[in-house]
Amino acid sequence: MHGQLRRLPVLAFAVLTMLVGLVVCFTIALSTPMYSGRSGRTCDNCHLTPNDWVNPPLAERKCALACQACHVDPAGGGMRNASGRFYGRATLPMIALSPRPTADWDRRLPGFGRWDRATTYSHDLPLGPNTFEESHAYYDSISDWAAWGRPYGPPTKYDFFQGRYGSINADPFFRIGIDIRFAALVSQGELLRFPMQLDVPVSLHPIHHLTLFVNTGVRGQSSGYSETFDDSHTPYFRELFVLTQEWPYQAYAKAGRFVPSYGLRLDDHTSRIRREFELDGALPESRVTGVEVGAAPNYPFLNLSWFTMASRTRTPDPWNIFDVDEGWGTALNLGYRSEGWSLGGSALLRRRPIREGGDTSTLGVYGVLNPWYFSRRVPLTYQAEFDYGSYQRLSGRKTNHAVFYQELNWLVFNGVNLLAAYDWADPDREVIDDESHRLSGGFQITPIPGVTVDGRIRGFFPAAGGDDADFFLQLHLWW
Amino acid sequence: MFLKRSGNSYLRLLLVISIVALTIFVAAVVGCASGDRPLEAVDPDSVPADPTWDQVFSIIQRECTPCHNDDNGKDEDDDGSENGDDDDDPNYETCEGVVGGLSDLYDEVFEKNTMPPGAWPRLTSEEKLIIQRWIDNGVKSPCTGN
Ligand code: HEC
Repeated sequence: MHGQLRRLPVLAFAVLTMLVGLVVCFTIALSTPMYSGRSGRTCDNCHLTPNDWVNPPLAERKCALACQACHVDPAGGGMRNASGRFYGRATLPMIALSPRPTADWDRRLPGFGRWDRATTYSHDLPLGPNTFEESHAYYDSISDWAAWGRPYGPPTKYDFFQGRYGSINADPFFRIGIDIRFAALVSQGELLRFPMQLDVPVSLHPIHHLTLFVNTGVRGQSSGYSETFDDSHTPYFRELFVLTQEWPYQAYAKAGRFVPSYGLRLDDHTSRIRREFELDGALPESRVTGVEVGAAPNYPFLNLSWFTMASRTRTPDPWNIFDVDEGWGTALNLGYRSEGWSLGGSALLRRRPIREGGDTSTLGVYGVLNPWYFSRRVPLTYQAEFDYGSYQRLSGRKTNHAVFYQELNWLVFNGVNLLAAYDWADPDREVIDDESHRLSGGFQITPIPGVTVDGRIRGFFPAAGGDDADFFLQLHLWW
Repeated sequence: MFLKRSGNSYLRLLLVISIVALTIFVAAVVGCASGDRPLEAVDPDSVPADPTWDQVFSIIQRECTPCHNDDNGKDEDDDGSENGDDDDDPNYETCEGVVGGLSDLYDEVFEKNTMPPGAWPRLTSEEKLIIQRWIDNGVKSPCTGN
């Protein structure tokens, strides 16, 4: 009872903050998003929209809000494909390098000038092809230093059409990206700086329907650069798989090392909806080796995987993706992502000996609400996830854990996002006072494509006491 | 104009209702009995009865050493922050560092529950119980010679 009472103020605070935040946002009535969630509001933030475009039959459509609409890895995260790159250049930054969506012309930061003159409806600029056949004429317009060549053979109707993404090479033979995150943390009055992450993803697409994807990553440590590179587990293959894609209904299959597709794949790897279920994107331990199939026919989506993995208590070999132990796992992620809302469900099962981490069974539901799609005056996006599951303690006894997360974004201007997030985790439903609440408020500023600054004040409220807060600042360079 | 406005209020209402509903749902989950005993009582076999130094050290290396090590002080001096050569700052890279600073460690982890600090999750119930039992069993380690 005592514990319950102590939790009450924190909870009341959480509810209040969210509500006050909402009221403030609504009164000012400007804007917000989560990339996929918010991008459904207008078509031309992912590609050019020629005036005479005719929607192809469902099987050939590439319009989707599932992860694979923007990422090379169909389960999301990391390297972007042509439409993801277009979004990153047209919509995301203050200063656009690809034509700004028409709906966003008046959403630039005041005093910043009109650097993003490019529009899809100007006659001086390419509108992109109306049809697959027309796209063949657009190869001359490629101007892209990060993606070269074309896969062998004639283009197919399931590729990204050249010209639909401005001067971006839509379907390159070779693409190299970069993802660097420097972070600083102010905690207990001290400043800690560390390189958190360095990824170099490479995608090789020699023939249509076939891609080899390799993402080599370095894990950062708070004590400095040398530690990062001395650590025997860095660098390592964060992802390495063969992918067959560009099939009807955007179906694909992949085999190799990856992170299972489950729930909302947040890039905040400290989030408990990731950590609690061995899905922390920064750790080699979250990687599994297996196969995954999926599809995204316009708005529904599905990703299903079967895999083997290294024991929970050890880090797998950085380069040998077949370094796994006994046991197997499977993950299902499916749902419907439409322009204004989405709803998804996930299941994750691991079956392995106790000494390797034991069995886990997890179910999750998540959703996104994007009122911005319904009204330009409500530019907010909200997403939430709840997960409940069982796992085995070392004794073999089963217990349950539960996690909840919600986040509200308000895109004040293109390139300036404010966010409020709350999460709660109870790592063991049988154990007293092990749960905790976390509240964050912050901003994400993207001045130009490839540069994002993310700052958050995070309050942490464990049921066992020891409330604390810190300030987290991250410089994210991506291409 | 009127229609537009009422559309907006409807949307706002919808958003507020979903957030409130979800928060209430979670409040319910949080509220309904999230355990009433410590791990020691719930499942005494969940961690070894007599944890080894290696088991303890691996927890500390994972959860504490990233911030508390030898070069941290030097790094921080370079960029002008105050960590410096403060004797209070633990160095958990060595057995001596851990054992020598045990009472501070105990204070931060068990009494105050403030390390790892800020919004970093604190140690799990299992990790705490392992360290607790290791201390109760007489701090066995290579540098204490037992
Ligand atoms: C994110 C970095 C970080 C991590 C991880 C971390 N600490 Fe700390 N720790 C700090 C900072 C910053 C201080 C300085 C606080 C101060 O001087 O008041 C500190 C101070 C301390 C102190 C000295 C307190 C005092 O007032 O003398 C102890 C003891 C300590 N930490 C133990 C631990 C233990 C044990 C762990 C692992 C369970 C841990 N820390 C993990 C950042 C960290």
